[in-house]
Amino acid sequence: MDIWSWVRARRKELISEGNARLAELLWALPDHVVDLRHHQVDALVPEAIALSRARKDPWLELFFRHWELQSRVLTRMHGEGALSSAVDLVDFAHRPETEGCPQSVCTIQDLAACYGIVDGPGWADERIEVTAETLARIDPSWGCFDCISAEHADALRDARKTDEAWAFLERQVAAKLAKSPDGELDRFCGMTRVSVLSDMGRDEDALALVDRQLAGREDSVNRTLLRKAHRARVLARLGRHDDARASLPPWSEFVDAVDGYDVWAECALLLVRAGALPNDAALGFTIGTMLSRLDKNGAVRSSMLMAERHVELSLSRGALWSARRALAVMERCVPRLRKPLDALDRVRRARERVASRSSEERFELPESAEALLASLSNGDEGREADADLPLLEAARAKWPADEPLLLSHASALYAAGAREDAIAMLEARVREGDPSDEVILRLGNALLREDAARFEAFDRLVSERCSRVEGRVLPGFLQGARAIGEGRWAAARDGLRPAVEARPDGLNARRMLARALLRDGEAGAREALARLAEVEAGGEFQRSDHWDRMSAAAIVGDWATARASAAALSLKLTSDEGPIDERWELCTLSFEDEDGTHEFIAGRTGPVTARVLHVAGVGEPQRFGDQWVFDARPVNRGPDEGADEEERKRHRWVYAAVHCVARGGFRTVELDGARPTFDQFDAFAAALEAEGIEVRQGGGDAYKLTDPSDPSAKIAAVYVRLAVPPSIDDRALGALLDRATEGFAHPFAWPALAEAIGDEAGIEAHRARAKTYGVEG
Amino acid sequence: MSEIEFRTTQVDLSGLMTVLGDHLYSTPTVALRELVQNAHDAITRRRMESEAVFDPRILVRADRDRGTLSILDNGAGLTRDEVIAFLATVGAGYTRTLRQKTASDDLIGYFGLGFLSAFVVSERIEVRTTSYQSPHEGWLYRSRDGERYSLEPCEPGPVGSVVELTLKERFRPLLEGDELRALLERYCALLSLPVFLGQDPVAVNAVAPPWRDESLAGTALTAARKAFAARFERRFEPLCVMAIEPTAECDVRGLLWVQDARTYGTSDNRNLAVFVRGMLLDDDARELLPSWAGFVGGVIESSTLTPTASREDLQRDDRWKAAHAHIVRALIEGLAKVASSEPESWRRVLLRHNEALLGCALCDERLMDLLANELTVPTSEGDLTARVVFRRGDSKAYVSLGTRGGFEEMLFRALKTPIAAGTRYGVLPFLRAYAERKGGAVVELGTEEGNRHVFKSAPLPADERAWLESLLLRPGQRLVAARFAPEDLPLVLVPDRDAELKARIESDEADKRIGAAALKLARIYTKTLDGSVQADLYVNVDSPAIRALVAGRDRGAAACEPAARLLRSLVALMAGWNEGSGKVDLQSALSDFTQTACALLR
Repeated sequence: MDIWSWVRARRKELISEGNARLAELLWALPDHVVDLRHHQVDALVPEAIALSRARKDPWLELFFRHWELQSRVLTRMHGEGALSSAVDLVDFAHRPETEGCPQSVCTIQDLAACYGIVDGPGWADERIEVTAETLARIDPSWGCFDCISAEHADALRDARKTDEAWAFLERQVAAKLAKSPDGELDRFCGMTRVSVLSDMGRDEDALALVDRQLAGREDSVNRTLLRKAHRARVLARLGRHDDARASLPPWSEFVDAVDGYDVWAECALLLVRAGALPNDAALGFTIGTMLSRLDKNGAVRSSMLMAERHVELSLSRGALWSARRALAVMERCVPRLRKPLDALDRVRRARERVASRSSEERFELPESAEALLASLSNGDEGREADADLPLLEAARAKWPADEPLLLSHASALYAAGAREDAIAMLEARVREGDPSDEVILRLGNALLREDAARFEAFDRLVSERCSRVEGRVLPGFLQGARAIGEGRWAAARDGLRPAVEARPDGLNARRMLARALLRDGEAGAREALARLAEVEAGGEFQRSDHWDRMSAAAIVGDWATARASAAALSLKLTSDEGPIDERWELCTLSFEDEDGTHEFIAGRTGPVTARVLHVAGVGEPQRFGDQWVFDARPVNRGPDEGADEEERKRHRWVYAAVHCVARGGFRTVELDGARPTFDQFDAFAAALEAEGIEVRQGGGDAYKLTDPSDPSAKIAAVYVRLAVPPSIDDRALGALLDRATEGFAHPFAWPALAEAIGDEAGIEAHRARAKTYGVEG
Repeated sequence: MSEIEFRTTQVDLSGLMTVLGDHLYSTPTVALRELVQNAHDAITRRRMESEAVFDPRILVRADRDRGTLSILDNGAGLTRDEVIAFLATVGAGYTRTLRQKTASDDLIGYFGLGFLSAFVVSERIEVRTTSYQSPHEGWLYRSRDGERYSLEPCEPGPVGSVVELTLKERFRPLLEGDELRALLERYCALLSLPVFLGQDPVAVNAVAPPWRDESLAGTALTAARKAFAARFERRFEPLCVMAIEPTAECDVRGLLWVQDARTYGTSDNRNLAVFVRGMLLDDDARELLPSWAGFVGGVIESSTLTPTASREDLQRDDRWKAAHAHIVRALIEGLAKVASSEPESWRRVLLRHNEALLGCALCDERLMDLLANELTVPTSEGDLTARVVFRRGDSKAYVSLGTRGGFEEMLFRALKTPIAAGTRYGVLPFLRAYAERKGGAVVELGTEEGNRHVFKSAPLPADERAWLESLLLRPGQRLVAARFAPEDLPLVLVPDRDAELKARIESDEADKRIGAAALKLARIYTKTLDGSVQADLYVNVDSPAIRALVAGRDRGAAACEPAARLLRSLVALMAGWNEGSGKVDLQSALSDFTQTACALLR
């Protein structure tokens, strides 16, 4: 059974049904998987599964779910975390509606591989058994013959039955050859055969095989990377270190090939031992990254082995802290293995090495913690992140109560990737009672991005253990500050107010609160002015404070205050007193509503005010003529540094509108008709504009209506959108339009306005016009 | 000297012509390209080798009646010996010799196969040539197949060559309409020598590419770029155009543009025209664009990219990799520049390509920086930016994956909290990436993790719990006291997926359909699951109905029992509405509901 001919047939079928999207996904997913575009896999799988379910197509669903597991399990090495999905898929693939699907068999491999990733040697016997069972169901013509044979041989390798594995592979090659004598078989079970040859000590043969594999036709990104890594490892084993280094793909290219981490790291270790690769901080970072990824994915056996390499490499470059952490991972892995096998020995040896190095370690601590911190900050530039940690630990043992030392220690842990350790340390300090502001802020900041429940627990802890009210308000302050960034203004006010009240010195809290208060009507603006006055009294009034004060003052109409701040910012105004209402440049006002952000063009009338110029269509709120106060921090970026005069002129600032000070009260009326001459249209627009009506013309060249003299033909047309001031009622408007369109070769239609006027004859006439010209209602 | 010579090209051509026809030079456009290149190189040669001042020009002429296509140049021309040595010897084009001698980058041709490619599309070819070295001699070369040819003296013309192809019947449509002009405009756009077509006094390549014209700046430059892009983007209008500038590491320069067409998800409309030494080499080098840029077109030139032997593709060497990285960077920086300096275009880019851009943002950190706040995701409350989704979800984004959670969705709809459609392309990973960057949590509805976010656990005295359990639970259910909104929703039943899986895998029926060894492995996993709870019944302690129920117990109210039955029916009806929640008996729930209502009315 050839899965790809099935895919091609399904693709054709889907396209002929008009289901191009599914057809596209059917093709794209396997490509993304084997070319290591993990993000794309994650982006399209939920959609593919949902579309398959929507058309009740279990075969397609099976296909997509299997390929998702191929990505997660086989290429990204998800072990423990993927077991549930793998079992679920085996169940799904063996129902009456799916068992005939050619991809059904592959789900067994997904499950076997998943166990193999958790603990290959530990689950070797079960994997041998299950793959043997599956192989009995298929023949070499099946696409999965290759994968399942490889899985079987890998399991034999894990069971240390190397010779049996080789004999099995040779049988499979022969079977494949018998079925397709012309086939190219170098890549059949390719990587497994290379590994088994190496296990048998036949490195020269392994090299020849992998070279043949690399020489052939173009291969997937993943396989190419893996083959190169295998080749490098074989070369390293052969003592051809320079060649090995040249063949080993750089880490930057290898990051996504998680299934090759073992081979890559083993090769690197061989090269370091031979002195052919520098054992530097960069290598430490690489191995550490591989380790944390495997560990997170629940690839337990691989994590243990990677941690063991990390211990060795870290110790040999003097990174004792990293070695200890890696040892902790090894210890954590052992109980999660199906069978420990040699793991206990490995852990024991690593533990002895770390202990022996630790006992050699002697620290010359200076006379005070302060002196130590000063010396740390003068450290070498190129020093490894964890170089200071053992020293800091020793210093903390000596000066446990020293807070700057604690904070430095926490920072160093954080920087070295030990987030949880840093958090635990700060939490312990809070629990001891009476933590300083710095400790609360540091811990709060670290937790703020975690889930809300954790932050709530922190908030409770601070209120229990901190006797100072100034300290107790800090979690709220942090949440308020975050809410500002997210535009949750009410939450920001709630969070910041207690901090402002409890801390007369809290100038930043006041500034932020004032900003949030700009979005809380006139009362809010008045309070904002009061808070900003407190900031000013605090002696640190900044330019941004002046801008916020102008916004607040404009909201309450306190123009003297607004003018004072404008003067302080050296802004030039054309008048000296009273409301500021000038003609500045165009800008865009951004409105954040419940359903998202809407932007409208506006004319700026002063430093922090603008009048909306956008004429909305029927069915949208008409904002034309509304006067708004905005937050003077632009939402968009300024023109580029390299922009020329023209580009600068074209650039338009976007501001967030915060408060409407005056409604224009305009309403929308729309007209349609065949295009009059340019002069006629100009005169028409001028007549309306003279009455304070804003005219917008739409349609463009593509807009056409029915030609009344020949209903099968079209004539150029225009639609007109009016913003009409409240001073003109519907009847007056109707009369005005009648006058203004007099003399047009084709009359304009305004059925909606006619209905609003309510005059039967008018309604009839405009409906008839709309019908004649084919105006859509 | 005056008699006709009959000669044979110095290689076995019969096989080679098939190869040329089928693979290397597959279309008449390629032949046209090769001959224009030869003309160009002949002029370059004359400039390098001769002192004479001349006004270089290449003229292409089509004669529909005779079915001929001619390429005229006033380049170096060929002597008799050169015709034999270069025109009729495969792999020995003069260009190659000259390039080896002078290392000049002005020469385009490579393999000397160019001329032969014309035979793939021609019945007959005639070349009249007069060399600058012997301006008083003319030579006429004639051949039908490139293999055997005749060579005879003829009237000397002006210095240069005229190659006249009599096209095979099926290629003659090339001579009709505007196709030839369009081809030449594309192929010769970057050639520095003027190429004329027929009587038109304006060269087809009169407009220099905007990156070569230093007089352009500001809006004029933008307009020129857009116009140039429009010549290359055949299917769509260019929406906005971005420049690729060369650097010390990579000489690639040119233009990229975003297509003004709506794309969805993984649609791939990439196209990139690559010019090497002034000639269009690869019309569709899309692989040089990043795989995520399905809505981008471009045109570039470089003198360092290496063509493959077919001259229609590029070799994937280190220079190719450098060019790829260079183009990706230019695209990302270009998009950022559009965002800052062309807000209207940027809005349209976002509007047109929102879905595709969700995927792009995931592929590149720099794009995520640019797009995190701009893109929208489809939600139950309309298309919203991630920022609004998180704001309205109180720093959480609720995502539905469609499978389960039909029920929780209803709950959130009641609260008007947007639920993002996780089943649409890119939505879930985009929101996750957003949360990672800006803080916040992504809650997948219908998962255990999601339920923890939705149902906040609440304390309940042991006796109250026991009483509620006796009143509300069915076998296999577990009561969980919780607080959740809306308050008017008293109970929610959430099935346990693990328990369902365990039941299916461990059932006898599974033995029949799954192989023994595979089933053994699956059961090893399900043995680790606790299957005792099939569903959690979340009881809302804030609900007035639940509060009244508990208060009723304290009073010993008789209505407790029928009220509980009503509530239980409500749960069953709502759970039954949710497809796939298995064992809810709708029929008995309906009958319970009806009987209770009747009893209340009696």
